[in-house]
Amino acid sequence: MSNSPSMSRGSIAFLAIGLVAAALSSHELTDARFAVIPAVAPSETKSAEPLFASIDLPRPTPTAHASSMAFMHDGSLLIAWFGGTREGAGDVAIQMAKVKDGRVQDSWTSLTCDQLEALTHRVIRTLGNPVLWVDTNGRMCMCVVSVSYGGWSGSAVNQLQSDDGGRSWSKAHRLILSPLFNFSTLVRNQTVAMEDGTIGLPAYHEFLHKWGTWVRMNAAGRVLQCDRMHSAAGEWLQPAVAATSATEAVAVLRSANITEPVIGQSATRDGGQTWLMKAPLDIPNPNSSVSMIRLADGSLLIAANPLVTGRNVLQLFRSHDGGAHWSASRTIERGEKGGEFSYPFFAQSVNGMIQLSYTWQRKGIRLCVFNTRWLDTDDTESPPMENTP
Amino acid sequence: MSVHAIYGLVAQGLIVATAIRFVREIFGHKNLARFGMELWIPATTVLIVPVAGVSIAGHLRGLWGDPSIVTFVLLLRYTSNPSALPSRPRLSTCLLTTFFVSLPLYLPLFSLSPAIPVDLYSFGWQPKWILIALAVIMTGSIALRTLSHRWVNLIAIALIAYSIGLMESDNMWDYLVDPGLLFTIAFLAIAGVASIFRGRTLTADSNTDTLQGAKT
Repeated sequence: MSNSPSMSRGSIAFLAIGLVAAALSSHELTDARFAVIPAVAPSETKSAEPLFASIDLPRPTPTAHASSMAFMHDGSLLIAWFGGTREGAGDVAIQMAKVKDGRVQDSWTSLTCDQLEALTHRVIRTLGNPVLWVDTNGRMCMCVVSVSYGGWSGSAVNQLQSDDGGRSWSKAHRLILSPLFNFSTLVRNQTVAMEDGTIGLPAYHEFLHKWGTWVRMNAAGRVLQCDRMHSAAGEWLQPAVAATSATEAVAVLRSANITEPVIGQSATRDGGQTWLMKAPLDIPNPNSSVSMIRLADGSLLIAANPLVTGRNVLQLFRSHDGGAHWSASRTIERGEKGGEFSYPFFAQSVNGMIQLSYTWQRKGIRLCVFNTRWLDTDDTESPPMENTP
Repeated sequence: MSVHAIYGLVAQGLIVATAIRFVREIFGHKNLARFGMELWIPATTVLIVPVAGVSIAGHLRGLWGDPSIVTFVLLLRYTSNPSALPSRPRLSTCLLTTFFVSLPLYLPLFSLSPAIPVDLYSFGWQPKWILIALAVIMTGSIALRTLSHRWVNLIAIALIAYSIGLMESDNMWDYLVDPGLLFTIAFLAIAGVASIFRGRTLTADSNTDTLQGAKT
C-alpha cells in the first residue's frame, strides 16, 4: 500500500478541506434552556364559576385516533389526528379541524399518503401520530409518523411546514434518528419551546425494545441533538415533557412493561442534555398514551387511563410540587369495559382555559375545555355524558 | 425536487446497477464495460418506472433508506471503473472498525441495558470529536502509510458532502457509514479471523502428519 509523497500531500490537503468545511457547517448547540412562562394566577382562575364544555369534532372517516393541537396566532385552535377505515390502512390520512370560540369552524383532510409520497419521494403505506406546533414565525409545523414497509416498528418521522394553517404542506423532510436504516422512530406528544428558538421534540423508539428519546431541532428542522431518555430497566415510550424551570423538566412515559404497568417518569436538570429515569408514578397504565402539561399557575396536569387493563376511564392527575407528588383530579370519561377514551393531548390558551383532546371510542376525536376552577371542585358529579354529534 | 431526494433516488439506481454487475461477475462475466448499457438501462428504469404510483427507487428508499456518501462513491467506482477502487482494508482495520464503530453504533439499538455505555451515534449531531478523531487517524494513517490515499479521499468527499448537506440526515455518521458498509467490513473481519484459525488448524494438522510420517 505505497503512496507517493506528493499523493499523500494531496490527500492531506483534500482531507483538511473536508475537515474545515465540515467543522464550519456544524451547528453548535447553545445553552439548553427551556422557554418557561413564569407561573402566575391567570385571570380566569379568579372566576367563581367552574367551566367545562366538550364538543365532538367532525368524523369524516370510520376511525380516528391520536389527536394533537396547537394554537394559531389568531387564537384559533388547530387539531390534527389520523383517520381512515382502520389503523394502519392505506387510506389513513391526517385530518384537521379549526376550532374558535368553542365552535368547529372548518375541517379538512390535511395530508394523505400520496401527498407525503410526492413530498418525500419514497413509498408511504400509512400514516400515524401527527404532532403540531407553531414556530416563532407563526408557521404551522407538523411531525407525522409514516410507514413504508412493516408495522409501526418500521416507522419513521417526517417533518413538514405549512404557510396556510395546515391546508397544504411543503418543505417535507425525513428526520433520520437511527443509524440502522432509520428504523422505528415515532412521535406522539407535544413539543417544548427552548429559549434560543429551538424546539424540543419528545420521540420514542420501539424496535425490539422501547425507550424515549429527546430530539432538539432548530427552526429549519435540522436535528441538533437526539439522546435517549435512558432506562436500564423496563420498556417506556411516548414521553410527554413539561418544563418546570429554565433547566428542569419532567417527563411521564407510557409503560410497555407487563410486570410494571404504571406510568414511568424521567427528569432533566440541564435543559434536556441528560435525562434520568426516576421511580415510576403510583398511577396504573395499561400500555396507553399519557399527556402532561404545565398549567399557567405552575401546577402539572396529567391525563391518563389509570387502569391495569383497558382504556375505558380517562382521568386527570395534578401535582403542585413539580411532579414529586400526584393526586387524582377529575374524571373526564368513564365507560363500560371495552370502551376507549385514550391518547389525550393538552393545550392551554392564553386566557388559561385548558383544552384536552382525546380519542373517543376510536370513532372520533372529542375536545374538552375547562378551567382550573373546575379542576379544583370535587369530582362528585357524574362524568360527562357520551354525547354524539 | 430537493437535493436530498435526487441523491437518494440516484443512489438507489446505483445500488441496482451494482447488484447487476456483481451478479454478472459471479457468473463469469469478467470483462464488463464501464457502466455500459447493461447497467444504464436497469438503473434508469429504477428511477423512472413507477410501481403503484411511486418509482422503484422510491420503494427502495422506503425499504432501506439512502446509503452513505462513502458507500455511494465506492459503488460508483465499482460500476464505472473497478480499477479505481481503494484496496481492500487490512484485517486490523476491519477489526478496529468493527469493534470501535459498528458495535457502538448498533448494539445500543438492541439493548436496554447498554453493554457499551457510549451511544456513538449521538456524537454525530455535534461532530467536533468525530472530526478531531478523523484528523488524527487519517493523518496518522497517511504518515504511516497504513491506509490507501483513496480511502482518505473518500472520507474527505464525505466530509464535504456533509458540509453542503447533501443527505437528509443531519448526523455525520450517516455520511461516513451505513449498515451495508459496516456489515461488509464486519464480514471481512470475521472472514479474516476465520482464515487465520483455519491456517492454524491446517498447520497443526500438517505437523501431526509430519510427526506421524516421522514415526513411520
